Amino acid sequence: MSFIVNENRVAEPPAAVLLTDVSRRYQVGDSEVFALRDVSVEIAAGEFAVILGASGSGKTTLLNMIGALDAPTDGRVVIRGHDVTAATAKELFAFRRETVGFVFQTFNLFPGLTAVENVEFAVAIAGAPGGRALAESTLERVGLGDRGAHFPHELSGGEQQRVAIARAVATGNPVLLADEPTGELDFRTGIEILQLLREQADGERCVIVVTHNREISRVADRVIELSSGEVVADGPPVGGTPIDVESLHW
Amino acid sequence: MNRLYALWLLRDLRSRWIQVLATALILAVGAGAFAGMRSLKAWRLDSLHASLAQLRSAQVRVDLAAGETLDRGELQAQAERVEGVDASQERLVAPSQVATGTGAHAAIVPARLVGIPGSPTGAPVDAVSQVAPDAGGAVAAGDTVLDWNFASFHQLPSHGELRLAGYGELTYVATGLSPQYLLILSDAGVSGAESSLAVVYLPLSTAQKASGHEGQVNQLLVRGVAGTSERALAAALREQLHDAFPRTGFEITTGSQEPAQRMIAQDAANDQKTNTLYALLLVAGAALAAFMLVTRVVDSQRREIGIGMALGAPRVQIARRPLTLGAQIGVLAALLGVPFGLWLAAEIKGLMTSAMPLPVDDSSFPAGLYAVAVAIAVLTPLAAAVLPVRRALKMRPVDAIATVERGGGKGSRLLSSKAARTLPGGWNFRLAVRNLLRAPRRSTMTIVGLAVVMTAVVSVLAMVDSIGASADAQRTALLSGSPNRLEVALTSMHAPDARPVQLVRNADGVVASETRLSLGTQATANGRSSQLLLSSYAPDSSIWQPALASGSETERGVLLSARAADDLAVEVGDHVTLSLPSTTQTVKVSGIHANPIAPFAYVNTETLRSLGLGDTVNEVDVVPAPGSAGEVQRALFGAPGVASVTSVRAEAEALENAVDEFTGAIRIVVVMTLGLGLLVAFTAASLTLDERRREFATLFAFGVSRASARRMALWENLTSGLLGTGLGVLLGVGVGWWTVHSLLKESFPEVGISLNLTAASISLALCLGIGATALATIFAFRRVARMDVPGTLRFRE
Repeated sequence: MSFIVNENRVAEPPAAVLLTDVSRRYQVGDSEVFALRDVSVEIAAGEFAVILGASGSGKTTLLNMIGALDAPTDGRVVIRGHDVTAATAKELFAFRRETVGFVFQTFNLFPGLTAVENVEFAVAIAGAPGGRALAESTLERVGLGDRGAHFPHELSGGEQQRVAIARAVATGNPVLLADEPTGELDFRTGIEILQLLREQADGERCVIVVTHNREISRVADRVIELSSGEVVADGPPVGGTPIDVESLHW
Repeated sequence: MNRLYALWLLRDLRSRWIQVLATALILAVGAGAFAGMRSLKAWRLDSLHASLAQLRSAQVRVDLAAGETLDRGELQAQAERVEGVDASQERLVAPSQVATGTGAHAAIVPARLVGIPGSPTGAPVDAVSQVAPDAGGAVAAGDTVLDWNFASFHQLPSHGELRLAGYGELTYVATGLSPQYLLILSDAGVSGAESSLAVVYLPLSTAQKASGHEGQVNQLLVRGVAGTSERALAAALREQLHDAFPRTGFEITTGSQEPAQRMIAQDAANDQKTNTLYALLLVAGAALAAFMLVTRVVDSQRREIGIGMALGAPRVQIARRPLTLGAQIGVLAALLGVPFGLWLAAEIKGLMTSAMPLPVDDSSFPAGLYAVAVAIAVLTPLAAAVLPVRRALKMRPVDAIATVERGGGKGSRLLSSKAARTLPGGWNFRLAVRNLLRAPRRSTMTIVGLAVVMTAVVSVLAMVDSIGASADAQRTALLSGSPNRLEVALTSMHAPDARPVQLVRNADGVVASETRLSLGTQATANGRSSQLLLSSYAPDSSIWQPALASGSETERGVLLSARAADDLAVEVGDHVTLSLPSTTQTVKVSGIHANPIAPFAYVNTETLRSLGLGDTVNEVDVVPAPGSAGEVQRALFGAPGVASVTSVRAEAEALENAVDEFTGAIRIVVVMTLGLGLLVAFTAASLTLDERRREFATLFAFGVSRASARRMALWENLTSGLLGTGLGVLLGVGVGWWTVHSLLKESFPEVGISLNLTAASISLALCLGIGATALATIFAFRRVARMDVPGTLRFRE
């Protein structure tokens, strides 16, 4: 994207997500394992990006870097102009609170809170106005308006994932990350979840979805493919343009 | 947000209330016991001081030299001339003999008559406190009161009759205590002499008449005005009396030198060492166990802490839930611990009071001790919550959220080890060991928590067993030979064929008899010395002879107790020097006898002759015909030359009662530690099952039966239970050994006690640790067995 400011200058807005030569190494016994190796990626605001790769390719690790759930061993991570790599622990907490919304593969809802309370909790710590009302309306948007009073163990997997999305969305944070959001769901539910996520990518918010399912990458504006911790492809989806979510089939 | 958190915390409490309550109870027992048991010395000393004040105890006691008396009034007149004297009283203290009790409790013992003018309970100095009957008010001027210690030992009623030698029947209306005779000490200053000395408080005129000292006194008791130094008062009195009665000998004792009072204070200090040891063991065990439990609960919330971190919740908010758990347990523990400590102290005080009553029970609230106990109760679970929270908050969120340990953590390394991979045995055993290995910190905390509590259990049991074994040995030594025998002490030494000896040997009802010599002596060896009571025996005696632990009873030499031998650093074959009345002799240690009483030493008749004492006796052991013990005692009462007649069976019974009373307090501690052990085992087992819910759900989903799954749970809990209990037993034996050989040695210098932990006690400890773990697992597994399997599998906590 570019914005013409004057005939002499094309000013590029700062990338929503900028990774430069990011590596992540783990020590396992006597050997060193590279989960990521010299990854450089740039994702703009409003983009719906899919990080694609087989199991063990490093895609979840990459997502964790972006969400500041993990720190790179080398390289730099800048999110909306903030150098996350150099941030203090306190700054990282604030960053996750105010900038990122995370949807986990295993939902990670609080078992002691109901569905609406799980969403309300995230809204409150993000400092977003609206509180309970916002939580209820967000749950309504994800189709769980009548399930707000249920605890996570009383919800199906799909419903729990919707709650997790509602939790991430309700904060209004500009970077939405989803790790295998359809991994544990049936096809129909997976389509609904993807639809919800796709709708979140708007002018300001970028959405990054991690998946091993190549079919899902067809709805993305941008597909970044990883293999053995390295970027092997980075560009538009197969066919050049994203397709409707409803057209997917796996 | 606050409303949300309040709801959340309430739900947390609802789902964990059993663990919260159990952990709080554990802490309450430990903290309460800490305060309760540590308050006993101060209570005892405060009660002693308050009792002495209430009884207007003498600051100075003046005793005339043995055999000397003065006319009544003379001593008091001199006292009133001394500046600073507030009150004084003259008394007559005279030796005598009493016969009292019936049947097995019949006793003829030396008596000490204390003649008091006016009412004994109303005396202006050293009043007598009425202990029984409880109703009080039974004593008036002119009444007789029997010493409570003596009456209690011989199980005499609170009022009754006794026979006074040279006087006849005497009615006592109550039993009581006075400051000088709060404890009855032997001439050697050892407590426990109440079996053989009856202190009788009677009207002065009666004492004078009974002792043949009409109008005479030989003791003066003085109290100074407030603020008077007893040393200054004693010095002034000494000078006044010396001037007034230059040819009369006086012995002056100040209040702080009073043997009985010093003994009580010393006993309180010695007892407190043991009490403090167990207080510390209990509080350490409880605190460690509670710490372990709370840490495990908070650790199990690690994933939720990680989710909070991933969402960016402020750290203070993340810490709210685990810290609230810690605070809930802490506050509950404090609320339960204070009344528990007060109750425990009251129970132990009740036992001590029944054994050694004091007129005043000064049970003021030891605020300082309970403040410390409350601090322990509150801070321990808070600290236990803070540490894992801090640990989690320092983690990367991705690691905190992980369901499986990432990378090369200690648990993973242990699990990956060759030993863990190649474990022998079936599924149950391998899973059990690997589950312990993959969470090494948690496993270690569980094992150590249980071990510390079991250490307290075993060490307390060791103390009870050791004291019991010592008492049994003493009883056995007493009752060996002819258990029906009576020990007759003569008033002085005689030749074996002297008339007083023959009178005893030929008394009606006596079927067998033997003479003995008993005398005090000092033994020295290796630069050390010990006071001994040396008694003779005939190696071929059919009535009684000492049982041996080692050595020879026929060889010439002295038989020492194990404790005396240890004190003198001698063994069988070494030599000791005995200071006898007319000579000092070096004799060989020919053996160690089995009686644990340290001062008791024995020489056979041949050795006695070699010491030049072969033709002297002062005791006679008589065996009465069956059923005629009472008749023999009556026949010997008041007989010329007879000081006392004691049944060994009655002595043994009294000893048993005394040991029961002493160990009564320890048994309370035993019950408490057993209860603590049960609680810890139960809570740890219950936590383990909670942590494994998802695994059990998976097992059930695969069709594993509940019984099989329960067996797996049992294996794991029993493995840690066995390790914790085993470690605790080993440590407990060590602490028990130290307690017996260090603390008890100091507290009971006149008794030899060695570590004796019975198989029954070890079995009890093992059953407790392992059995409680097993029972707790079976009990807690019922909840697991009822779980909603799909719900548990569906939902990722």
